Amino acid sequence: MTAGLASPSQGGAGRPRPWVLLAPALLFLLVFFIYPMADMLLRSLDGQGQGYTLEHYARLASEPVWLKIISITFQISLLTTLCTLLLGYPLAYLLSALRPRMAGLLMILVIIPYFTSILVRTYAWMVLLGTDGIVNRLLIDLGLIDSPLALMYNRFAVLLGMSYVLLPYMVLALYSVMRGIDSSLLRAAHSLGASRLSAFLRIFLPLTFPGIAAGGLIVFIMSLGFFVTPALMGSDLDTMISMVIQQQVETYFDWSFASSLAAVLLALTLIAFFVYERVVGMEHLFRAKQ
Amino acid sequence: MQEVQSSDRPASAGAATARAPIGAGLSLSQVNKYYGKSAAVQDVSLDIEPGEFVTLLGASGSGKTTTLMMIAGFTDPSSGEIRIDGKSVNGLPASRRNLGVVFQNYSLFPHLTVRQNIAFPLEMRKIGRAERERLVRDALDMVHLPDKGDSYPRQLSGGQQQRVALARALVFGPRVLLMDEPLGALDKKLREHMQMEIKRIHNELGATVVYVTHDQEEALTMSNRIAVMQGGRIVQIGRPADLYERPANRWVADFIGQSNFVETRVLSRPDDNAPTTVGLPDGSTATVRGAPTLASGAAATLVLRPEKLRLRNADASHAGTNRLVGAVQEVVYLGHATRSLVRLPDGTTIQVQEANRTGSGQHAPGQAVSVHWAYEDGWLLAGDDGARS
Repeated sequence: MTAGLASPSQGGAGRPRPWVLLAPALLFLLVFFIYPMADMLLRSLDGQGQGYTLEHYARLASEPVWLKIISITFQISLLTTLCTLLLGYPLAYLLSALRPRMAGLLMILVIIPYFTSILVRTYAWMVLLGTDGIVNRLLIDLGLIDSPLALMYNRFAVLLGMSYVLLPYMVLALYSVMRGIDSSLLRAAHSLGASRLSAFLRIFLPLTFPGIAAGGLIVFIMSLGFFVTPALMGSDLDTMISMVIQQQVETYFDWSFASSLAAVLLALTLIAFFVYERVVGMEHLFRAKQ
Repeated sequence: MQEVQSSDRPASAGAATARAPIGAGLSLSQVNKYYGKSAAVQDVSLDIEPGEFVTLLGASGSGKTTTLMMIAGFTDPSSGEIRIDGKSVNGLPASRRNLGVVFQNYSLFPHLTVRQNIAFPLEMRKIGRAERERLVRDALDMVHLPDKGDSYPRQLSGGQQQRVALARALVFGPRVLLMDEPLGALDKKLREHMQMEIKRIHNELGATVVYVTHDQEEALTMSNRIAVMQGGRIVQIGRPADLYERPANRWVADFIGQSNFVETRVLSRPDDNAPTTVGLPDGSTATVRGAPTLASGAAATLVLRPEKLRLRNADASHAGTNRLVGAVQEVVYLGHATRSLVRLPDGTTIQVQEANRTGSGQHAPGQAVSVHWAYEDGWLLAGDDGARS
């Protein structure tokens, strides 16, 4: 029925209805995403044959260790977000100031690590940072230190490893926003008497807020569910929520409690989205392009 | 270092009397700009009087915007010197030149309100809050937008954004205002209205204005003087009437207004002020002004403006006047005037534009006619000038 009256913007005659195009993806999500998620939520309420119960959540709330782990997860995620922002902002700024060709080339360098498994990259850091690793040996050979520094199995190592893995997301988010900022705005600011610093603080920085928000959200949410890096490079004090979920399933076969932990992780993620919605909803005033 | 003026300062463009005019003198001497090996601006020298409105007119790529950007301080000249009020500003950053700049796309800060946009240069100059508010209010009044202070730029129309950009560039009382195709994005009606507004503000404030445009009509309407640029050079500078009446070469004659070009040969040149006699393609002769350097026998191009020509029936005898004989090829009715295309025997066509008055003769296509012009209205150029494009 689409023939004849279809407007040109809809692509002309014979084009299938939207739901036909959406169906495969929806079906896939239903089977492999919605169903498992619903199953997980139900398991977290499983009363072992006696209907539904909140006892798993009660346990989660009553034993301090779990709240501690949620708090550690939050801390590590926030710090990782901050590190990627501090490292990524100048890098994205540099890229956005280059000519498109050069910027594209350097952007490939930023993205290349993606082509390697995260496991391989994490082991590479371990080779670098270990007690007998390259960094320690170099420092000892140079006579700067006498005994190896503890670079591994601590918070520093976790933040380093995670920031390294997540940096490209932050750079891409910032770069796309910075690229859209009209450079004549900065010229205008200079012509109106602004020094480089004032022009940056009053004009450029506020215009990159949407990029900071978007990059921050992506990095923060990905950090919340991080597993490999904190598991391999952290100590017991850096235990994150996904690690205890794995532990509950693999070691204790406690699917219900693991599910309740996973539900909390999901809730945290949704809260982060909600906060972003609220903030960036307001920030729509601050779009770089008119 | 900066003077902040209120908008009620008496206008005194270029006047040496009364209080000192707010406008600063501006001079460029032998300014060049190279990008790699290619020259964007070559050997540009220009002296602008305080309070003068000077337009850099040229096609895209003529170097007019580059010249403006060098005055603004966004680009450094490769060589040459730019002086404001006699002081060299080479190497001085844009932020310390104290010039108002209006950009082609307005460049309003999208995250700030109109009021905050206009207050920005005042904040950069650390002007107190009360004074700042008063100056912003005055500036908004000046551009007739007193109640748009709390809007964001994207909530305004193109013309309103343009006014805000103008207010922001003027609020701190700059002595020189630079404008880069400020009306390019507006439609014709609004553009003409804004031209008048800019002229009014220029007259009120008396700041020196350097205006860049590719629109020759805009340049003619607004400027005290026009510098026509081509290929990075100034090919001619003068008052609008000078450029229109006495173009320096064929390119300028073609770029400013419409022109007919007739190839001729100089027959006699008595002395500087007497008319020159030239031979026309059909063998007759005409007397014209211009080209005092041409020798007898030299090739020359005769420039005839369409609106200065008259059509008569060919059979009527008008011995002794300048004329070309041909046949009407096409007649176009324009409302205020009628444009006729006349084909000469050698194939060239001449455009004639006559005002539509009661009784003005209408000619039909195919009719044999003669095209007449007064001696003062024929302008002679060297024939083989290299600047034709």
